[in-house]
Amino acid sequence: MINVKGLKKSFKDVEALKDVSFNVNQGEILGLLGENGAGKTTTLRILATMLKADDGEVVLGGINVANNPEAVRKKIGILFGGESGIYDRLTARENIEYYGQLNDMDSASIKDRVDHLSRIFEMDEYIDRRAGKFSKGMKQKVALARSIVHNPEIMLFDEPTSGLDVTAARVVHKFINSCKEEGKTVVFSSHTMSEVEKLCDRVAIIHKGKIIEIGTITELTDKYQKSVEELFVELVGE
Amino acid sequence: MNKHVSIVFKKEIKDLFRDKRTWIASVLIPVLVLPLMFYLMGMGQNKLEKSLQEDINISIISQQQSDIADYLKGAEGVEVIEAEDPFAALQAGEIKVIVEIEEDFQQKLAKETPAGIKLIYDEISNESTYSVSNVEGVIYQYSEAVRNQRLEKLGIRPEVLQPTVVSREAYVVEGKESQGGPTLMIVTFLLPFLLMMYPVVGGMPAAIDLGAGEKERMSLEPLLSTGASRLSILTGKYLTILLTSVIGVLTSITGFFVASRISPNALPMDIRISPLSLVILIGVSLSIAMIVSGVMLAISVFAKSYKEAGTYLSPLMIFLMAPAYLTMFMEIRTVSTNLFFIPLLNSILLMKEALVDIINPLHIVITFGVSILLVIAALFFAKYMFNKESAIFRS
Ligand SMILES: Nc1ncnc2c1ncn2[C@@H]1O[C@H](COP(=O)(O)OP(=O)(O)O)[C@@H](O)[C@H]1O
Ligand SMILES: [Mg+2]
Repeated sequence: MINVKGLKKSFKDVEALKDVSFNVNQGEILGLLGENGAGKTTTLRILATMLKADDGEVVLGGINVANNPEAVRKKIGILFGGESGIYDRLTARENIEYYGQLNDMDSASIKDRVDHLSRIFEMDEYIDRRAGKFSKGMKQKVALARSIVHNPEIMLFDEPTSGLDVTAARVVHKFINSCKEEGKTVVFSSHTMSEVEKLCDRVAIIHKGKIIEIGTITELTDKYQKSVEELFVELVGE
Repeated sequence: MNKHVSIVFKKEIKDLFRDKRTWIASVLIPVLVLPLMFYLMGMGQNKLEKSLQEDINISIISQQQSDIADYLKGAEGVEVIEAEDPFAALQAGEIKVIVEIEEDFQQKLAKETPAGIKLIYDEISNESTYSVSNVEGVIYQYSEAVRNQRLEKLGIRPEVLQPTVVSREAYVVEGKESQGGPTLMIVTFLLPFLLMMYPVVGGMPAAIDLGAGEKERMSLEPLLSTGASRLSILTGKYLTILLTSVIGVLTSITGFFVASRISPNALPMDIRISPLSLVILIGVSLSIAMIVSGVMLAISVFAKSYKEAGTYLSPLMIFLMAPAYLTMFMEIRTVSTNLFFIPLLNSILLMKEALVDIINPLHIVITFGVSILLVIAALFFAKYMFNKESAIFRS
C-alpha cells in the first residue's frame, strides 16, 4: 500500500533524510520510532505531499506522490502533532464538514458521515456547539473525526499524543486501533517505546535520517535477543 | 477547482464574521473615525470662532497719554483691560494681545513721522495668535482716519492715492459650479488618502488570520493535506481578504459622507463628481485593494504567528500613506506624466485628477497598466510564498 524508496531531503545545510526506505502493507500499522530530529516529521510530510523529496520515490495506493499529489491527498488522512488545529469559531460539525467538502464529498454523504462519527466519538452533545470553549480532549476528537471524514485508506499520524494528557492520549490510541480494525493502513511516528509496542504491527527505527532497522516486534527481539527498548537505546547510542 | 475556491471562501467569511475583531476593523472603525474626527474638530473650531466674534481683551502699555490709546478704549471689537502685570495676564489667557505704544508716539504723530505700536501675543494660544490680526485691523482703522485727515489738510482727495481696485474670482468652466477653494483641498487630499488606507485597514485582520493565524493554530498543514489544491485554497483566501478590504473602503466612504453631514463647513459634500470620475475612483481603489490583499496574504503566510504578521504588516500603512502626503501640495494641473509610472503615487494623482474632473486618457492608461502589473506581481508573490516549503514550515 505504501512504498517508500531512497528518500533524501535537505533543508539548506541540514541533511534531514539521507536514505529512508520502507513498505507498509494494506491494513498494517507501522510505527516510526526515533529521537527528536531523527527525521520522522519530514518523512511523514513527504508522504502527505506537504514537502517534495530531493530524491527517492513514494507511491501511496498505487499513485506516485510526485505525479499526482491531489489524488494522493484524497486517499490520506493526517493528524500531525498534539495540537488539534480546529477552528474555534466554527462548530464541531462545521469543522468536520469543511474537510468533507474539500475532499469532494457530496452534502448527503457528509451529513451521514458526520452523524456517524459524532456517534462513535460520543460527540452528539456538543457537535453543534462552537469549538472555542471545548476541552483539549473534545477538540482532539473533532480533529480525529475531521481527519477521517472522507474515509481515507491511509492514515498518517505524527506524534499524535505529544502534549496530550492521559485521557486525550487514550482517545487517540483507541482511534488508531479502530483504524486497523477498519482495514486502514497506518503510519505513525513516536519517540516513546511503549506507545509503539502497544499499537504497531511493525516498527521502523529511524536515526539521523536513516532507517536503521525494521521488522515486527518479535522479529527484532528474536534477532537481537533484547527488548525493543534496549535495542533502541543501543542502536541509537548515547 | 472553482468548487474548492468557493468552499474555502465561504468558510473563511463565516469564520471571520463570527469574530468581533473583523466587525471592529472592517466596519466599525472605518465608519466612525472620520465622523468622530470632524465632530471634535468642529467643536474646537466653533469655540474658536465664537471667541473671535466676541470683543478681544487687550492691555495697553504706554508711558503717556496718546490718541491711539483713547481710540482703542472706545473702539469696537476690542476691550481694554487694566492689568497689573499684562504679561502674566497674557499667559493666563485673561487678555489676548498686549498693545505696546512707543514712548514718543504722540510727538511722532504730531511731526507726521511713522509712530510705532508693538502687538505682543502668545504663540502657544491659538486664540491669541488669531486675535493679533483683528487688533491690527482695529489699529488700521485708526491709521485710515489719521491718513484721511492729513490728506484733507493738503487738499487731496483720498481716491487720488488709490489708482486700482482689485477683486478676485475663481474661474469655473461654464455649466459647472464652483467647488470652493480651501475645502476642495481637504477633499482632494482626504478622499484619495482614505481610498489608499482603508484597503489595508479593512483587509489586515483577515490577512493575518488567514495566513499566520492558520499556522499558529496548527491548522494549515491539515488544510493543505485535503483534496483541494494549494492554488484553490490560496484563491479562496485571497478573495476573502479582498472582500474585507473592499468592505473597509466602502465603510470608510460611508464615514466620509456621515462626517460631511456632521461638519458640512469643513467637509462640503457638494463637490460634484462626474460618473466617469467616479468609475476612475472606484477602479483605482479596487486595484489598490487587489494589490495589498495579495501582498498581505503573502507576508502573512510567511510569518510564524499573529504577532509576527502584525509586525511585518503595519509598515505597509506608512508605505501607502506616503504618496498621499507627498502629493499633498503638488500642482495637479501641470503634474508630469512621468510621475504616473510610479506605483501607488500614480493612483493618488489619478484620484486627485478625477476629483477635479481632469480626465487625461494617457494618465489613466499608464496608471491602470502599472496597477495591473502590480496586481499580477502581488498574486505571484502570494502563490510563491504559498508553495515555498521554507515559508510554510518556517520554524
Ligand atoms: N522546515 C525546516 N527547515 C529547516 N530544517 C528543518 C525543517 N524541518 C526539519 N528540519 C531539520 O531536519 C531534521 C529532521 O527534523 P524532523 O523531521 O522534524 O525530525 P523529528 O520529527 O524526527 O523530530 C532536524 O535536524 C530538523 O532541525
Ligand atoms: Mg517531529
